[in-house]
Amino acid sequence: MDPTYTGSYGRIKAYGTDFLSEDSIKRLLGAKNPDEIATELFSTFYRTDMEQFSAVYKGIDLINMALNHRLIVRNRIALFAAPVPGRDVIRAYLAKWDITNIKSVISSKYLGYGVKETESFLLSFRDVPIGIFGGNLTKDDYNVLLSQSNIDSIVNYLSNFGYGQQLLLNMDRYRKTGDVSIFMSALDTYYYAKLIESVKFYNGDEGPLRRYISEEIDLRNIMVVLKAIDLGIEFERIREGLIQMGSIDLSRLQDLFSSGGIEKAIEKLSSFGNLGIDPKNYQENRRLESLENSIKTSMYRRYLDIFNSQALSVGSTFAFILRSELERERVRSISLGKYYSITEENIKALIF
Amino acid sequence: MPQMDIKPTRIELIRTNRRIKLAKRGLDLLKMKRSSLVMEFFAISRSVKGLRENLRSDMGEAIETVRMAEIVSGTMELERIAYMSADSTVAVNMKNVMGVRIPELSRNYSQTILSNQYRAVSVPTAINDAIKMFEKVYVQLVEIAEKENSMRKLLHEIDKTKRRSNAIENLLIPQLTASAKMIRMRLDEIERDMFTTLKMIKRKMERKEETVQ
Repeated sequence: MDPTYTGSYGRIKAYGTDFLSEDSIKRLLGAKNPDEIATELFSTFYRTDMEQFSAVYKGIDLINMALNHRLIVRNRIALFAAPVPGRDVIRAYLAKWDITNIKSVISSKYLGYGVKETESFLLSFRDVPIGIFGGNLTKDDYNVLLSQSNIDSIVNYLSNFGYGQQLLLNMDRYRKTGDVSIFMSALDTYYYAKLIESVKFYNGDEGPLRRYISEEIDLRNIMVVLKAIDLGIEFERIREGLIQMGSIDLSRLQDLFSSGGIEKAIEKLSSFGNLGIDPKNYQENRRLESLENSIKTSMYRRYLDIFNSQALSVGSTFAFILRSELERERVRSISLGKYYSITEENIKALIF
Repeated sequence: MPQMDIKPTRIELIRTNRRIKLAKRGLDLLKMKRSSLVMEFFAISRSVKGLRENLRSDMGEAIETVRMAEIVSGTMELERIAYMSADSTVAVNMKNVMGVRIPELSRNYSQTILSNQYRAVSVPTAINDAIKMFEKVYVQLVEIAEKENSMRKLLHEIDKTKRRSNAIENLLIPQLTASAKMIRMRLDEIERDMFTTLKMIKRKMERKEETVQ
């Protein structure tokens, strides 16, 4: 037991009471439209978030803004609650928002979109705001990035933050092929490498967190392989896009690819350990997303219980982050699902 | 054809009979063409009906898939990837069906960044599912547009063929038959006239011979 985590655990536990109960989620699911969901959320702790934006936003936009704001607040709580040894891994995990935004900046520059177009696309977007607290880049950094004239100068600017060094390694290949997807894969690889690297065995109980990250990489790799089978492309073309830090190595992934078809690959996946695959939905709708969702649900269920049981460890802080992300996803799925009149069955399949 | 213009000659009768024969052969050919066009029209309309039914359900499914993708991956991600898709072009070529030039569309879906490799590696699964569904719908839409255009052209040609065959069957052939009948009647009359004249001449010649004896 490490006493440095005592304060962190106490703070996380205190804020942990703020999460929506299962009954609240059921009530939200029973709502007819986003307005009813907004009314329901107004009676919870989301009231403070909603009050901040209610003058400008209404309905589904108000819900989104409140959810994003709450996520940022919770990420801040998690980052400050963690003691110094655990802060690195949380910072590395939250860098995923930076990665997403850098990808958008590179894509828009490649396509020749101007600052104005890209700015409105990125900065005033209703989704997770860029420069999210916990990420390394601030709003000012994104303004500088957007004002750069070409991809080379973007990569040069990013080299101040670590992301650029990884991108610089692929610069020659980009110049030869003109394909920016090389950068996208490089950023993903960099993100997971930093994440794995930041999980240090300080307490000795960081194993589950490492396993969780490995499984997240496995899930990503499996989906890349399944998509490649579906799109009918060769394994060699996706080899570089596979991240080799998961628990499933490259040869097993190649073996999975050589199954010949998605159904056979899914059958083979059952021998890959406890992935929690439920092929039923895929067989009905032929959508790989439902398969990914079943694996994700199983992962969240298993690891949330494990992290929650790790009282004085970075695991408890991580459980808090996962729960806040999960709650945002669930409420967002329900509200957008109701907004778009998606069947209740499909909404339920999305909300873990 | 005004009957006054008809020359009641034997050569004209032969010519008219030839024209009747030709018109009947043409009528048979037009009827055959019309039947083939109608058969082609119904074959296309059956496939269009099937495609339209599929399109309706596939479009609904595609819209639901893109909404699910928006929920799962977020609007920002969806728009980022949507920005990457390039314009596609549709080229129009022509093919010949029973003399009717109907359009044949060929698609060229240019993929700049959004290549299959990129989709497999960097596009979220939910968005990839949505892309797949909309690609399917796009192919169906082009196919339906091609077939419906062909149907329109075929219908126009069927109508034209029908008018032509009706004109031959109900106007040209009866007129030619009437002309032939009239020429035959006139020729018969001329023959009868000639016969009577010859008879009279013969009788007169006989009478003249009798008086001389």
